[in-house]
Amino acid sequence: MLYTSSVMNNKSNDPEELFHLKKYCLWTDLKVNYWLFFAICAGAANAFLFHSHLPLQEDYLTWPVGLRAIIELVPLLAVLFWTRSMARWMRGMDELQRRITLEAWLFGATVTLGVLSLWPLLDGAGVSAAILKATQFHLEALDKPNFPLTLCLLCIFYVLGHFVLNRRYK
Amino acid sequence: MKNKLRELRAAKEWSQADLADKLGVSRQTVNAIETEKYDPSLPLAFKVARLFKKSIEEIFELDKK
Repeated sequence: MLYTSSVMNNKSNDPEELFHLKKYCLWTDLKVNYWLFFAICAGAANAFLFHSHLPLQEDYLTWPVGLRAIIELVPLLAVLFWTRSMARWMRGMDELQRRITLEAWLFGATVTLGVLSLWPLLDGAGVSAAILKATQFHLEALDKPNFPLTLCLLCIFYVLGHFVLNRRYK
Repeated sequence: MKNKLRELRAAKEWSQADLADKLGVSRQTVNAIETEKYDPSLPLAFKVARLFKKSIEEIFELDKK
């Protein structure tokens, strides 16, 4: 209902309310991204409670495997709900903006997949060491792909794709 | 696809924002159609045709290339 009401008012959902600094709307951001926020919080809590040096971590490995699987899958479930809220929001967009947003997501997903799959090969070829030598910038995070990193890369490449595609239709 | 949207809009003395409002789309969409960077969907083409009381073929013309 949150999304259809804007369509009924003949005002389509505007993607710039999330990315454009002047048009940014916190209410829209909350409507669309609350599950993403929950996924990030659940992922961070999971990492802090069960994968850090807290005493809880030792007990955690003795818990039933089903329970551990559920705990580990909570962020993924939240991301699925986020995808649903994003899809609903996109349905209420103007047709050109829907096309731009879809293309940007496709670009973001493809590039993220490419970066994460090709990184071990580039790392093996000495690219990581060369970057570290030239910029003093560690890229160790890319060695072990994880949920927050993948989400972060996806969002960065999505915003980049959206910016480029938006310029194309201006 | 070529179109006469800009001429028709100018004849009515509407701004791109006015036309976008009447069609229920963004101004960016109207601009992209006028500059022929974007071809509208069939429902939108029908809306445009109805708004200007013309047939779709009178407004939009398929490129012969």
